[in-house]
Amino acid sequence: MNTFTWLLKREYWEHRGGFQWAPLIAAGVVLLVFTIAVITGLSNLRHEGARLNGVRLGDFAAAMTPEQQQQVGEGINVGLFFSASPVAITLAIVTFFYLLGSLYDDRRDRSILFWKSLPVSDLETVLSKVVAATVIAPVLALGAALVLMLGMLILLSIVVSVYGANPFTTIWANASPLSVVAKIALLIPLNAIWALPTIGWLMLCSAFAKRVPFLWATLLPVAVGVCISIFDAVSNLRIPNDWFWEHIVGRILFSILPGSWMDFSDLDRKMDGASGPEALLGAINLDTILAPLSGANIWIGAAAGIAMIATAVWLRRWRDDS
Amino acid sequence: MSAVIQARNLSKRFGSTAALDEVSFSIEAGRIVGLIGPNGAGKTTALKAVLGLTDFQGELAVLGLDPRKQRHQLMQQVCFIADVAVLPRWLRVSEAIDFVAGVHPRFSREKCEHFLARTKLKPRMRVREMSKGMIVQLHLALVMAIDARLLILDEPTLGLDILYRKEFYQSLLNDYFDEQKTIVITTHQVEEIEHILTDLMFIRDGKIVLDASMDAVADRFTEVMVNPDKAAAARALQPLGERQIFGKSIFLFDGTEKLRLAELGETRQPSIADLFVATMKGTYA
Repeated sequence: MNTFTWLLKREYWEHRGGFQWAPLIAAGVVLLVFTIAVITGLSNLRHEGARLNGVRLGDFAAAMTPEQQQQVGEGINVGLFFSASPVAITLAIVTFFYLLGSLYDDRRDRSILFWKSLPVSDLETVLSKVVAATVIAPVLALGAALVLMLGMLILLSIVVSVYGANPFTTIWANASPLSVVAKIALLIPLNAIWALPTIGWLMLCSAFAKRVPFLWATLLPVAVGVCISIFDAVSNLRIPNDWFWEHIVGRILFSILPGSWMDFSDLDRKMDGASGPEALLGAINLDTILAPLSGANIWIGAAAGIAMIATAVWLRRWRDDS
Repeated sequence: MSAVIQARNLSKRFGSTAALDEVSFSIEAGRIVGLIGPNGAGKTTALKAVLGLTDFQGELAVLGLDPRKQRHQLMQQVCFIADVAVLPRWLRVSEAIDFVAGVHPRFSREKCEHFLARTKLKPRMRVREMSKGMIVQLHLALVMAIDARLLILDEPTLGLDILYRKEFYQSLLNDYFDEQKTIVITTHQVEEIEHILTDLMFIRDGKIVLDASMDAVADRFTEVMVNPDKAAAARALQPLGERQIFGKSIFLFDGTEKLRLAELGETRQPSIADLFVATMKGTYA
């Protein structure tokens, strides 16, 4: 194994709790809530019998046409896709704080002197942390998401069989958790490019701050934004525009959230005239993924992010306060 | 044989104070050099410059490399222990070994495991569960398993009890040091490294005030215990320092002929600690 692989391994060792366990715990919590809901629901229904408008659900399911079955599958897939969002939010929070500490924690406890005593360049060190945030953490979170999806399907199967339907024909034959996971996996590189300004800004603060990088990272852009808004409001006598908030503050603090590149107005338009659950997942296809890549926004942000990462490398090399 | 460290007119300022003030020195291979100075004299700054951890003015070549520009190549040949307790607290012994073995081409896993077998450290142990002494045992085992040409130790035994301190220097001498290697040590516990040094450097206010081999130091400096009746005669020879003990005066002379001093009283070799105190007189005044 080469040096870079070892550096990635080191990040994993140090942040196993955040990268691996936090998403799994988030998935576990979602499953727990879902389980409780299922148990409560089933125990209520038990008394009334599993009937829908007087028809047994089992008969209902058996009578479905292949088209309807496919729709059920699509519906489940959409459910699976969005059930992963607590995991995605956990991932965003973990990565945010990981990046803030990435070039600061070892300066604070002086272990930077140990890392710097080894023949590893500062460029490699910083890049290994970028890769940990953009690849390792999302892939592990995706693993947790897959666990969550399979758990959901199992629970759903139990519900369905209690109602007297065959879970294999209604659920497993139609739902496709693996293709949902594959779709999310396709988004990882896009998320990474989109997140570059946030990654760069957080690492820059992490490499620069003598103390509390969190305050540097958050208060500085917010303070500048407030100043601009006040100035705008006073000098032009109009409601301050939100350009700075959206394109600077938002991009350097919140682009780490998976899927935050999504243009919802665009998605609205795509779904116009579409009906059924398949439209939503269908809207997330290669086109949607490539669409943001054709805009200037993402590339300007990426360039700014790379510039900030480069500055962080320089600071890591020359900052001398240990 | 070219010098391991060659410094010419090394300067570094922090605001208005000069941490290093036009310092020039050279360290040959196969030496154990003690860099001794009061707090804030510039020891750590000098070592950081050598390790490429800080910028500076002047010329500096370490193993023929410029630590500012060629730090990466340099660190394959240079090891350092900054002081105890800089190992990351989450690290396990086994992870530390795996990582160093992975990134350092000159690390020997067998050697490291051999050194660790003599300690109470277990592979699953984390640094945060260790005492200071155990941390330094781990750090030393890692560093001694690296076949480096230059080892830099900055206060390596700070805060350790005497058992660990003795063991530290003993293993360094017995299991690590040879003619191919060079060691630079800074410490305040001068007495403990006195017998292992080959060279001595005193640094004060960013300047080197003494730079000599231990043999030369033994030749140059003499301590004489003088009865009160001959004290005036001794003072006339311009001693470096004077202190009183049991009604007698002990004078420290630099470069004065030993035969002449023998006439004044009993002569002996001064300890580095006494030499240090006499040289640094008035530092904090």
